[in-house]
Amino acid sequence: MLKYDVLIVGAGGGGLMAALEANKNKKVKVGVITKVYPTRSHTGAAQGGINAALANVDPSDSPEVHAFDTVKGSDYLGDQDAIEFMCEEAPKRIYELEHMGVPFSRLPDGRIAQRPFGGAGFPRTCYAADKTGHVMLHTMYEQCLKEGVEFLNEWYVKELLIDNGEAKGVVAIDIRTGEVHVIKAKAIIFATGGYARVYWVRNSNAIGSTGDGIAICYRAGIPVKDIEFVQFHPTGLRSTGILVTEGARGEGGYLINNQGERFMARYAPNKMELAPRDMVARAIETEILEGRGWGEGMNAYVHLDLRHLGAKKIKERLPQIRMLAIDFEGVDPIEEPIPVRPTAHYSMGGIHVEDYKTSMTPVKGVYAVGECACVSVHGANRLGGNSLLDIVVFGKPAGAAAAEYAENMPEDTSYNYAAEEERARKEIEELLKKEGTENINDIRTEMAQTMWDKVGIFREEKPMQEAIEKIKELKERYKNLAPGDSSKLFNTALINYLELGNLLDLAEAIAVTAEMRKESRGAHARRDYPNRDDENFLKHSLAYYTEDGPKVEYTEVRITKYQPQERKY
Amino acid sequence: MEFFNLKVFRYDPTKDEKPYYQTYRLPVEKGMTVLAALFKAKEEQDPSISFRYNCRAAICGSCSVRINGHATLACKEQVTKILEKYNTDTIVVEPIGNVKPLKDLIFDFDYLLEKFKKVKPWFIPKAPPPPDGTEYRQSPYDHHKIDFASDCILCASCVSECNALKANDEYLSPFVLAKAYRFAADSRDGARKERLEAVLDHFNLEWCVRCWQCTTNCPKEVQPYESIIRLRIIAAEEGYKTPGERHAEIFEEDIKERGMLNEMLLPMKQEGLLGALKRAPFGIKMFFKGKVNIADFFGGHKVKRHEEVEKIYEKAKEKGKQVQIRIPQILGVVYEDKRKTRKRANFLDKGGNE
Repeated sequence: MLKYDVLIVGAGGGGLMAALEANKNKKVKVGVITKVYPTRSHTGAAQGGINAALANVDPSDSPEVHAFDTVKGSDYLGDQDAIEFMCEEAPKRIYELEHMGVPFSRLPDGRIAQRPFGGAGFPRTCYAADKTGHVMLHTMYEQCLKEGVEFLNEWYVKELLIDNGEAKGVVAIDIRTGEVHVIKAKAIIFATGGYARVYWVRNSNAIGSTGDGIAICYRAGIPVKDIEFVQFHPTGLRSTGILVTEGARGEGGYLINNQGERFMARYAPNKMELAPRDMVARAIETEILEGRGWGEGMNAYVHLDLRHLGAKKIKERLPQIRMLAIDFEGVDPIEEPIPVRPTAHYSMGGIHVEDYKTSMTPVKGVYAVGECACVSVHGANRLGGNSLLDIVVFGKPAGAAAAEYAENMPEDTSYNYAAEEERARKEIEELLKKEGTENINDIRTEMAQTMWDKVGIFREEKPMQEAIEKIKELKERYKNLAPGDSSKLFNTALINYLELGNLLDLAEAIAVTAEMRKESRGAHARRDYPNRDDENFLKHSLAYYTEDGPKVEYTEVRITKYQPQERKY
Repeated sequence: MEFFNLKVFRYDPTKDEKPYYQTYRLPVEKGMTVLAALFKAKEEQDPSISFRYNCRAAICGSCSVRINGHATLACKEQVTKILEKYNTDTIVVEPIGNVKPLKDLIFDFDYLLEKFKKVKPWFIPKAPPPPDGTEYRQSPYDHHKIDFASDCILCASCVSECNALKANDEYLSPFVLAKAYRFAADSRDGARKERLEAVLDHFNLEWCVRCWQCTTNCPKEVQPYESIIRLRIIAAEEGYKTPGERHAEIFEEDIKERGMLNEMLLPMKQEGLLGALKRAPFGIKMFFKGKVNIADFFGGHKVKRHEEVEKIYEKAKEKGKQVQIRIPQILGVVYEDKRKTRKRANFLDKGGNE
């Protein structure tokens, strides 16, 4: 049996940062388990940058201003002590990353360059051109290779084993061989990313961002927090949901409906296409709902027209956006408008973290960091540049805390690992033999369509109740779905099957908690309750898994010095 | 065209004796990538097809495959474009070349990771960080030298058609050398010598046959071929004599001394007595074909009118004092960013964002 003191599930930025830190404690054995190779993780897709008040560009910036911007951005749902901690730690973590070799873009004097970002009072976002996440991920992986961190690449974690309120290990499948293993671990850190894939095609995430870690913890009895909050980015490509950066509108691109109108004139006559993200996203969605878009259903879209900028400017200033449109949509923006629609982008909610200093969950020895965790520092709405920060700021202490916990934890001799392994192996064998009547694509598409139409950018009581029913029905139909492939080696059909199960559980939790939150806050916009209601809903939702659907409780938001005010920009 | 054929390489070593191809008929849809086509075939016709994927936005590097003979990322290629480009109704998808297929389109990546580790592909600082704990200073120009090279997504598209690797599986391969360049050229890095020694070992820099396949296939314009040449120049600057350089010197000496090349002694001068012995069978063959003169072994003869060669050398020496090739001039070329789509006139320019 494989045995680790600290097992890290997921090898994106959060997982690798935790691994590097845990690995410094030479008394513990650290392993990282990931369903892809580490450099394939979704952290690599983050382009814009990472926030830290280095004050390299504007000396008046400070961690306090950063904290205030984040609290306000969160629509006051973020825990202020955790936010203050994150913003204080931010400069130290940026320097640490730089000392690991991250090739940040530079100012003429050789210091790290910083640029302005939405919702920030100062140019605070450190970047490496348009590939900040990519270079961070690769640099951290390189450091792991240097330090000899042990990786289990292409392994899928299926279950978390808990006994007596303590972590015991995980059940995992070696994707390369198809073998089922129980891995014994004293401390387990989840760093498995978000769940925006519940909206399937209408999302900007990697195909593998299926919220596995969150669903695994949820089913194991750990509550998920604020799961109703999903951030939508206004411009995703029509067919894939891949992001078209804000730069396209920044350079003067127009949003056009099927009447040929620049419709933003109706929603934000002054700012037009450059209004805040959530506002632009709602405007596009309204145009489509009112029949002024092109296409039908999930394939509806409006135009992002860059043609008037001319070939020269497009090639010089927006070369990447042009390549994206050509490669992924088959459209050259010099000749045709780009078909776009909002796209689910980021999961604010996640595994309930009780203590931000260690990232420990209510279960002893189980930790969560990054997008799969909910500390909460992003509250109801995340600011651009704060997600890369989140993973390094919380990844590091989580690694140290998990190592310390494991070091002081005696070896478990009573838990029956062999029985768990036998049970899991039988389950997988049955699955491989199973005959199904459903098609994976049908269930997934119906789930995504339901979530998009009824628990998407605009939310309202009745449609959400319908969505809850629909998801329950889909969960029933899922029982009649089979992986469809019985082979052992690289059976990705089996993995896709298990991932869909995770998404369905999370979709249900999102719909239920969203229906119960009778207010509008940050990314959660209700037509029937258009205002924020601090009296009743300045609190985090906690959803507990039960066979009959989530059981929801609430917990207090921690406020230090920033009293809730109206969020206006 | 309404439909096209997706012809997929299939192989499961636990079941199949030999690889085979399976064809799936799919509708042609605007905006459909080859990766989307693979998923469509998998989810609607045959769940058993295995392939790697994740970001589907050309940044994670998982889905490198050969499409109609050329390595690229499946997520980056439009079906309509491929059909048009090859004027066909069939798209053939195979694993990339020069690697071991494990199942269907999935290949053994660990084999490449082992090569990767040989050049110590991690930052080794030259000096401790500034005393105040802030960042190492690096000028925008120095950052620019490593900017394009740090675009590598380890997709291994460059490996697929590498002719050097095909001939010699000890060859480190293009992306590994490109990564060695990324660190050797980093102004903050202190292990330039170690990295150069790693890439000079086993003639790695010399093995590159300059076929350009790596640079042509690279979906991120990392320019591995150019970085190999950059490494050669950096190695020369650092005073390393590469076998190629030694070869050129021997040529030069021979021409100066005799006006012609001494092919009998060349291997000995280049590789020493032991190295030359390995080449003896080849030399003997050449002798019997009348290609070399045995007398050359003892120094041989000079060309007629050798004094004219000497005059050319004298003239060249004179001119050499007037024309000076200074290394800093070459440097601009060494570190030039040769990306076509993303090249920026000014490296301080702000890139895109989220």
